[in-house]
This record gives sequence, C-alpha cells and structure tokens, in this order.
Amino acid sequence: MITREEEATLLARVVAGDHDAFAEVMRAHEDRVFSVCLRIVGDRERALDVTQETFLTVFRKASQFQGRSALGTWIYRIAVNRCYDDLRKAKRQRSDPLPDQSDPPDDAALDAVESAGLRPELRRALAALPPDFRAAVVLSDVEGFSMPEAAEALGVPVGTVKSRVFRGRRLLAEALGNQTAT
Amino acid sequence: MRERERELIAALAEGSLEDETEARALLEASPEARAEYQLQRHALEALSTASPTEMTDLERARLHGELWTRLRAEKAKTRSTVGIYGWSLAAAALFVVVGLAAVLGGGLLGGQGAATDTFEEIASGLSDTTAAAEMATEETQAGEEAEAFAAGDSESAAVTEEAQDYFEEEATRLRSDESLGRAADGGDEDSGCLERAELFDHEVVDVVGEDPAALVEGRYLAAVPAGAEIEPATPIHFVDSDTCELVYTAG
Repeated sequence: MITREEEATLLARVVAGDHDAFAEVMRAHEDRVFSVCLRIVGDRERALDVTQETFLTVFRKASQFQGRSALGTWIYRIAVNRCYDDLRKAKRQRSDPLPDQSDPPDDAALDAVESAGLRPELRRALAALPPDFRAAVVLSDVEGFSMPEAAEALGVPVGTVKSRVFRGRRLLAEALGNQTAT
Repeated sequence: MRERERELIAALAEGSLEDETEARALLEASPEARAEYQLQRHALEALSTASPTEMTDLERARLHGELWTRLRAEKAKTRSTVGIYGWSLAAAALFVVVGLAAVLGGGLLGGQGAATDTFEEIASGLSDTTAAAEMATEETQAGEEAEAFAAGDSESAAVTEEAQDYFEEEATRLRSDESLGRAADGGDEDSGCLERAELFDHEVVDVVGEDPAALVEGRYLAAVPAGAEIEPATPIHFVDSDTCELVYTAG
C-alpha cells in the first residue's frame, strides 16, 4: 500500500519531468477512472475522452497536489468534474435543434448502452438521475467507494453523499419500477 | 423521515448493520419506512447486476497515444516553433502507430502490461527512433523534449502572469457588480471545496473560467468571507474547483 509521502514524491517526480512517474500514476488509476467515467457518462467513446481529459488535468495540475487527500481521491475528484463537464456539453448538444431527429435509436446507440456494462433498463434509469445523484450512486454502489472516499471525490460532506445516495437509489428504483410497469 | 431513520434503512438495505434490531423495529412500526426499504433494496439489487468494465487493449493504446500526442502538442505550442510542432506530430503519429502495432501484433497476450509497457517504451525511447534521431538535428533535441515536455517549469508550478491578470480583472468586476448574488453557484459541492482549500466560513460569490475564451483553463470558485460586503479592500480568493486548491488571492 503506497503511503501519502510516496504519492507526494511520485507527483513531485511528475512535475520534475519524470515520464516514468506519470506512466506509473496512469497505470495505477486508469482502469478505475475509466470505469467511473463510463458509469457516469454511459458511453465508451465519451468515457475514453473523459479519461484522457482527466489525466491531462492531472498532469497539468500535478504541482498543485499537496497530499492532503490520497492521490487516487484527488484524481477521482478531477474525473468526476470532467464527467460533469461532458454531461453539460452533451446536454447542450441535445438541446440544439437537429434536422431529421425523429429516427429511433440505432444499433450503434444500443451497442453503447450495452458496452457500459449495464442492462439497458438500468442504464436508462441511471441516465435519468440528476448528475450529482448519479455520481454518488455510481461511486458508492457500483464502484464500491466508502462514504468518506466518495465524499472526498465529490467534494462534499459525508452527510451530503449519504443523502444523495439514498435519494438516488429511491429515484432509480422508481424509474425501474416504471419501466417494468410500461 | 428523519436522517437517523434514513441511515438505518439504508444500512439495513446494504446489509452493513451489525445489529439489525433497531432497524427491523422501525420497519415493523412504519409503513413509510418499509416502502423506503423496498426501494433501497430494489435499487441495490439492480446495481449489483452491473458487470465489470475494462478498457480493451485498443482503447488503452488509443488513450495513451492520444494523451501523449496532446501533451507534446501543448509543449510544442508553448515553444511556438512550427518546425518542432511538425516533427512532434510526426513523432506522435509514429508513437500511435507503433503503440497500436505492438498491442495488436504481440502485446495482446501480455494484456494490460503490454499496453502500458508500450506507453513507457515509447515515452522513454523516443530518442532511439528514426524520427527522434532526425528531430535531434532540429533546434531542440527530441530526447530533451520528451523529458522536458512534462517538466514542472515555472508555468505549471505557479500561476502565470496572464492568469494573475485574469483573476485581478475578475476581482475588479466582482467588486463593482452591485447585483452580485451570494453563494452564486454550486451549493454543497462548492462549499465542501472551499473547506478543503482551508477557506472556512467563506462563501462562493461567482464561478469564473468556464468561458472557453477565458485566459485560464478550468473552473474557479471566487470566494469571500461569508456575509461580508465586497468592498475594494475585500480579499477575493480563487479556488480551483477540480483540485480544491487556492490558486490566487486578489486584494
């Protein structure tokens, strides 16, 4: 288990230009970052882009890491913020009027749904949650973050995470129930 | 429903209670609690069906290749040298091709290790490639560039003068904006971030930097002491919302 001091040293090496150190940081965290991003944005292509943006930000801001939190938590905080950026961008693009928008979802869209590792109805229900509830539920119930870890990654108090998880689960269950009934 | 009751119900649904007596009694006594418990269980059961997700080798190679390309391009743009940029693109393209070839041709059996080894090999071995050797004849050595592009030079280690000017302009705007609302954005999320930046008893009055045309990248919370009037002498703190680090104080 890497200590906080070792993490700070690793980041210092990144800042000093040690590309091996940056590769080590990526290797340690890229899979989980990708998984978190995929669950939140729901699409593999976008999740890959968001993962890339996350590590770009990690690289650019490595000098700002002061070791007050675990390095992983710091990275996941950046990842969640990048996910929020992506969701805002996707929402803006959806609200733009498009011609010929009446076609039903195509095979590529369905593939994207399946590739997020979630059953279609679950993915739809999760996608319908407000982003902050979705992120809390993903971190806690899908990725297995403890409440303190999720709180740090989301930048909110533990009580807020608990509330979001509770309300997010309720909304999710209600959405799944509605899908079953229809 | 009180917070304590919600926590009990959630913990019971998760199976994390050592002693379920109190929680079970709550369900027994309250139809509302029972209904809530059912919803929590339903959601948790659905979420437990999520299958593990992993990047494919191709995705991993693409992630590393594109990341490296962008990092090199940023550094090349900083130097504002067209020749180096051109060679950077050529070397980066070579990197992506070699990376994909290594992963697809021989790295698949090695799995993740192969994909990341490729990243490291190319990141550290650029000077051995033909493109890098040719680059060495250019004004800047490829090997130095491969090491130096990630360097913590003065620009990445501290707020640049450009960024300082931007924050000062934003502070001036905030001080003159009579219609400014308090706790303008974010609520809980950003107040947690201020606390991590050790700005206790402060509040967010604005969020800056989100405009693509802004001179700084990223999203910054502008914070002042809670309840304070924003006067010419009021310090305005700018906190990076990604890292929750205080990056600049104006005034």
